[in-house]
Amino acid sequence: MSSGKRSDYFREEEDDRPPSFAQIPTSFGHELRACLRCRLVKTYDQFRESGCENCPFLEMEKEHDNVVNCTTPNFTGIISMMDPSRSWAARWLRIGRFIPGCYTLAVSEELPEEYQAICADNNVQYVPPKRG
Amino acid sequence: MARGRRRSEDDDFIDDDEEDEGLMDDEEEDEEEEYDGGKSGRKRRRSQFVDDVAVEDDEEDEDEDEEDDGGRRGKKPKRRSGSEFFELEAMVDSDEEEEEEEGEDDFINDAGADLPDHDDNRRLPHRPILLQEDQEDVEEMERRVKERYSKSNQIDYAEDATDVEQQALLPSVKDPKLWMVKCAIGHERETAICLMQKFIDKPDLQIKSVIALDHLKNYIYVEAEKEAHVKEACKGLRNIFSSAKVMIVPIKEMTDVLSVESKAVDLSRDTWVRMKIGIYKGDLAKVVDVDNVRQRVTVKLIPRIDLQTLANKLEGRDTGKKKTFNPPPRFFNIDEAREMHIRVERRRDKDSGEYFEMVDGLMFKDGFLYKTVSVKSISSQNIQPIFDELEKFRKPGEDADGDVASLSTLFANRKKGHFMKGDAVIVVRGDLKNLMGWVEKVEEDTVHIRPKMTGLPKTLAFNEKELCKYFKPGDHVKVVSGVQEGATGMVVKVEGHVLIILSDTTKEHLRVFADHVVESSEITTGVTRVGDYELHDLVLLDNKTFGVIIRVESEAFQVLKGVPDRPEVVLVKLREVKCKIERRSNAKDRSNNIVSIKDVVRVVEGPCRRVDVFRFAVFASAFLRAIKFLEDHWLDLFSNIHAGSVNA
Repeated sequence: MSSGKRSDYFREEEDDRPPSFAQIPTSFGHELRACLRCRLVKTYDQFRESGCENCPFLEMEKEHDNVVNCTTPNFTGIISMMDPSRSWAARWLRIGRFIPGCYTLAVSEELPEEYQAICADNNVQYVPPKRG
Repeated sequence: MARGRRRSEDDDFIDDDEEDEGLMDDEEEDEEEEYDGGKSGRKRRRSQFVDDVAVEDDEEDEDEDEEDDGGRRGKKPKRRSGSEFFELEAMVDSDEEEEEEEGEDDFINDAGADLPDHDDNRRLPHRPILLQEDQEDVEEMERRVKERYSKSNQIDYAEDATDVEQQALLPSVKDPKLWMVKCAIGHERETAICLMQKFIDKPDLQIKSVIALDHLKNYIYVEAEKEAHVKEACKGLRNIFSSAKVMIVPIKEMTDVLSVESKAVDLSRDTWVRMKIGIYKGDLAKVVDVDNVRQRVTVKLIPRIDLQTLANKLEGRDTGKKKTFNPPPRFFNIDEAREMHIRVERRRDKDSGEYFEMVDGLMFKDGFLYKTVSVKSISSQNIQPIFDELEKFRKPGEDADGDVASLSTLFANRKKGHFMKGDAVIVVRGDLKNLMGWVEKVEEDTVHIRPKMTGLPKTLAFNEKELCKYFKPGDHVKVVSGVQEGATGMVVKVEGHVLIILSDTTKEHLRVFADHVVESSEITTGVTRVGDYELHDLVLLDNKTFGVIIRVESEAFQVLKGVPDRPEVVLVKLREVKCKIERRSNAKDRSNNIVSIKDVVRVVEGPCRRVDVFRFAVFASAFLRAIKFLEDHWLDLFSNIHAGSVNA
């Protein structure tokens, strides 16, 4: 598997266009974390280096704390989403609007309040996980 | 947008789904956020996907004409605008204010050049133009919609809509299907991620998604229109056999694949659990760390270590006998270990930064053993720690924490509707701690009490977690939950939230949490059944002996065993009982009549004569245990118990 660097996914010509895929996790172990807002799954290092592609306003690439607070290693199941706009699963899981990448079915925690406020400020929706 | 185009050709239903999804999100979002004017409540995500405004228009027109856009309408009042397309500030402001009333316009007006996403704001610049054209229509629509939705509570509506929304997202025949594919066991996630990588390298791969569930080993799900797509995608993958079967998932079961059991996610720090296997089976433990990815937890236990055996092992000395007994729980003491020449290493755990003492691969701290086990080997539901266990866990000097820990367990296990009007309570947390009072009214989470102290308002409200039931010595109570459930007795002493009760049945002192008790004049004869075993069952014990249960206690039994001339009563723990013995053989009495189970017999010889016995267990050469007799007088007379043959 390739290293999953961001540059792999950018179109050659334009660097300022948003990526067409999120980074793919480079390992499957304890380092895997899921973003609490969009449920994207990457490793801690990947979040720290490139932030979350769906949630740039969480600024994970700027602060280590943001990664720790906005992502969790407690999540259930993995779904590789290749075509969110056409996938039924993406629709059901409400990730149809996010970029293709690896997501999780459910996270265990809620996004902390201050980050929920940041979402609100950016006119971005946050849906807390359902508690069975 | 391609998606939009495709969908508008399809079912209206699907269209609606898509639209509603976007809307629904908004609604939910609104719930979350404060209702402040301006930009709150708007969703931006769509905009990055939408390039062509005109296309969206068509889509929307169709929708309006054909469907009931109730969902959208209801939301309107809350829709706020702000738009990256506005150049005129003034317009923005007025739009925002008037949004509530004119929101519907955007849908109604198909004349507008851009009416893209319902949730977007691009329509706004054109609104003034539209108004002029269709003023009356708009106003009428507006009135109608307002009437329709004036009563709906925004939040409630959103919640209903969410459920409805989920229904609307059910898979239809037009959606891609789910296919189940066998893969190498233990490599399910890896396979899913590999397929993602493959898709990136070869975007013409026609699968839509791949799902790897935590609890389903050996298989992954692939979402695709055709089986051929699945097979094509799986070609060349190390983890999927080329001959692997591809099985379609029935449409009705598709949503089950994606539903997540939330129970698994609930284990958290400081929860009390019980070990299910190993030497610590049945022991209370406290969770200190949870690793959901690997499904393991680290728990803190009172160690059961036999230092001598450990020392022998480490020095290479053969211990000879296999350990047949379970060492009792005892805190680990470094000095003791060192005396035995056991090497104790001090290590720092990289994850938590704390220091531990390592002995033979085991980690200790503050005397506790820290052990990492799979979540499958612990039981977290319905853990009712016995007071004694909690006491043991709480080391001296840790009082405050210990209290809070046991309190939190109490409150976690507390049933709803726990407090009743008239209950005497005491405040255990907060500024008004130690205030006593009586319950006046109970609401969802709030309890109103009438305080005992003068000078306070007539009723005070507390969160139910801040209160604890209160009893005074002399109260007669019944234990309604916890390990002593079913016992009744009189309160003899009160220690904070712990009561000492003199049991009616056993005349012992029981320690129970005040929370587990209600005032009652009922007197019980005691619990007769614990686990699989009942009073008077003939049971096989660990060491190949057997006996009859003569008394049932919280988690143990008093068992009468031995031979006719030498009876013995032992206290046996629930887990030490191997099994029940159920034999249907018969014995003969003195007159050679057949005697079988449940017959009433009279003992005519020995000290137990002239006592009626109505039940006995028959085994092998026919014992008779004077059970009823024991039940009434065992304390006084057990030295006189005879097991003998019946001479009727």
